[in-house]
Amino acid sequence: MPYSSLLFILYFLPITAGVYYLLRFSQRFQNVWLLLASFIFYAWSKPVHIIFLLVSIAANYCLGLVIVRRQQKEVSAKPVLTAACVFNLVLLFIYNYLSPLAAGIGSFFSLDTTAVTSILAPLGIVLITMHVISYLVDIYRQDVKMDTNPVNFALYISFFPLLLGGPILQYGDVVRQIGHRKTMWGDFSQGVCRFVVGLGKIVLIADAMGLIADHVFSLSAMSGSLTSVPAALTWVGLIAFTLQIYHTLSGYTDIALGLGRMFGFRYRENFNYPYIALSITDFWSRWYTSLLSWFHNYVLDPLTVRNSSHDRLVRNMFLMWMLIGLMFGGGWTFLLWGILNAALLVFERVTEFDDLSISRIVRRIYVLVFMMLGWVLFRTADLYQLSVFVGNFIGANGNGFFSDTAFMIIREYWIVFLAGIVFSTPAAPKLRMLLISKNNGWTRIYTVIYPLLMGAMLLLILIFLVRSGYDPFLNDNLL
Amino acid sequence: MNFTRRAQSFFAILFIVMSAIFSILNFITRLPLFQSKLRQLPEGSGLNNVVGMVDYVANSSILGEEKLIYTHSQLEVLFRKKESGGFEIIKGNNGELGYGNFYPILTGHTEEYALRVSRFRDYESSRGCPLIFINAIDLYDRENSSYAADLPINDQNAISDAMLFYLQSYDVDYLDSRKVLKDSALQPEAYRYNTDIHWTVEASFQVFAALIEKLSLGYDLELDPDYFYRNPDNYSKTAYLQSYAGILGQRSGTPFSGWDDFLFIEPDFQTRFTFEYRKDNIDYTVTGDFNEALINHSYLDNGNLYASYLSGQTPWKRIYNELSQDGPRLLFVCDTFAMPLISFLAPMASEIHVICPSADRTLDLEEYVMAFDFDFVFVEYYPGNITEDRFHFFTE
Repeated sequence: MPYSSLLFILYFLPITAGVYYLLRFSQRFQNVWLLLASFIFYAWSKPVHIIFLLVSIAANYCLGLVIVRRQQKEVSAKPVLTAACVFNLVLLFIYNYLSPLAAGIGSFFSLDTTAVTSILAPLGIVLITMHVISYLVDIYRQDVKMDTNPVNFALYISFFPLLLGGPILQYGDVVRQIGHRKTMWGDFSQGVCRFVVGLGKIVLIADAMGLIADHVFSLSAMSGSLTSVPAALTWVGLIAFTLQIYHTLSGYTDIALGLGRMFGFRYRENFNYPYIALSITDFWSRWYTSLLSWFHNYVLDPLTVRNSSHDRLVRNMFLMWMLIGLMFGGGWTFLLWGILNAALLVFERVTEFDDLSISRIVRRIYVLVFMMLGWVLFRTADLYQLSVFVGNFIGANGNGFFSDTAFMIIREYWIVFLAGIVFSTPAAPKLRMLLISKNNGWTRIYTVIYPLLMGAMLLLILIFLVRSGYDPFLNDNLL
Repeated sequence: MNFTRRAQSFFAILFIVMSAIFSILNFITRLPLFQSKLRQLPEGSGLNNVVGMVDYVANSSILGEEKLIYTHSQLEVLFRKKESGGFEIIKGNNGELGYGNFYPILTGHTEEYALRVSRFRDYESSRGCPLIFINAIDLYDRENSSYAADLPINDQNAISDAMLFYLQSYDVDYLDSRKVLKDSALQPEAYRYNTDIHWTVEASFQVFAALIEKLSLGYDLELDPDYFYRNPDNYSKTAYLQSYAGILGQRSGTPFSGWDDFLFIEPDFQTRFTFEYRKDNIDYTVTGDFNEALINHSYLDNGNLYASYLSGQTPWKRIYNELSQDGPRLLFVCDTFAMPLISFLAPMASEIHVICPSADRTLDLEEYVMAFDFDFVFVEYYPGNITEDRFHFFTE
């Protein structure tokens, strides 16, 4: 059930929030209710996958208890932790990576691998695995005391605002909130606004940009004998994807933070206008920060021993980034994307890039060029498509430069491109700060205008959602 | 900061009040639709099917959707857009709508479908029943449609060409409506509605007349020796001016699509039929003259004028001609393009069976044709419907 579906907005969310606030008298009941709602949310797309979730919750809860008990008896819990991590990673591998691997092997050796490739990954399996590993490691390290209430643990794993995207949690950050949190009206109202902003990013910007990017990348994938994709069109497609990926991921973050806030949870910020970064290092301190923080905490730190050599640090950095790449998908292009980022970060550290006297504009262009190059790796399905897209991009495939289609796309979607670019920068919060910094007439106007603008955006979201799913002949098959 | 919080509070209150009212009203008004769709699910449907149905209905139909679509359409007009819904629909220079398509049209699948039609023909021929394939027109007319060159035009004529080529190679007879209309007295702008995928009722009448001619010349089947049924003067015509928005118009919204004129044609001579059809697993029977039996007045009333002929697409329907039992017994395997055409044929036939394979995949066409002796079989599709779900018959 996507957050940007009418079913979620019109039925699931109002019922979940309504009952949640009716149960104000007991946080336990509230948590049980949120857990039940999360199970329904999880099972909605494929009911049978709830079994995976329940098994994962039960197994990891017990493994956590075993770790704590062994530590209480002063017996090493490391073998249990290792076994638990392996168990979760094997599950992740089976569901997420076995299928593309089997497909590759099958096509190479002409084998029928349908039984394996037809395995569908359960919803949010990557995020769930990361949350579980954080829980196991945090209690093993005794960074935080385990909450032995199974409902609270199950809610940590399966809370619906975090299942489709948003920040990656670390157990230590949220364990206390699950059992002891206060939901104030201010939290709720901020959460509502954040949720609507996230929806707006996804429905009004990311979906449209995604549509354009999909067409261009698909055309590029089949280009050659069937069709030719001029360079200008690939540029437009790449810009569209650059805007799509930012507004999708930051939109999901806004939704997760907003929904969490509505139910009293506070999560860390995840995005801070990364496309205005002045270096790749700066970019990664603004883009999906919870991801990097998680990998630093649970991958890089354990690999780094005291007095590690530079070579070892560089090796660990590459290893971590390759894993980050593989987290997003099982293809070679994701691996290359990880390697590219590691190489850029190492390059910046070696050259002390931040201290070089380079103008801000040049720095921003450098960041955008390399990040967009990275997005090509991220978006293309395989190395062949990558080579075709890059060839098209620089006009090396005899594909020409000018494209009527590219100009047509800009003509039809200029307003979305413009909104996508403007809202990738801190222009809106700066304008808001300007309006409210001095307590004058503008501030009062802002107080009136803001709810109206948000209401208009919500209406616009509803209109676009209805248009995308509208079936005027739901009652009658007229074709 | 207080001002920010106050502004957020105002919006949160607005959000709660509006979403609560809207959600409750929406649920109450959609409940009958949920119940009706639930009843339509086959017996023993699993949880997956129920969830899928609830999901589909909840996301496809909400309170005030026509107004929201209308507003969306107005926004598209405001921004002078020539496409709607992410290139789902594109607009031509003369207001005609078409589907958008960025990709090359592939025709490889047509050979298999032509082969299936030929197997169907072979089976019926062995029982002395000929078969003709009728190719309906595409939305895009290579000679007359006019779109801005940069729009992603969906020209499916290549599918028609390939299908007819393979049918010819399998020696299956066909009627190409593109040629029929080109040779007719109709102006090209009257071939199809701007807002709909269908050909106009007038165009359908031209194809009906050409079919009668073909049966007479090619098969010695004289259905209209006196040129009575093909004479347009024997039909009454009702014009619905600027009041028809077809499939494309309703999806994109009328500010974007505009309106079409609709010419409703019905016989001006005596007719009497019994019309049976199955819809949503319920069987209906209507008896009366052409207007009473074959025209669904609820569609006329709600603006779905084209679907008023034979109630649009239903999985199965049968027309008994109460005034003549001497005519042939016909079978149509078709999409909705054929509905006016079949209606015009009905006074000349004793009985017409109509099957729309895509509307009911469980209906076994091979078993069905074994149970009846037909005098003639017609397979009719528009090129966009030359797809697997329309040709799941005689697969081996």
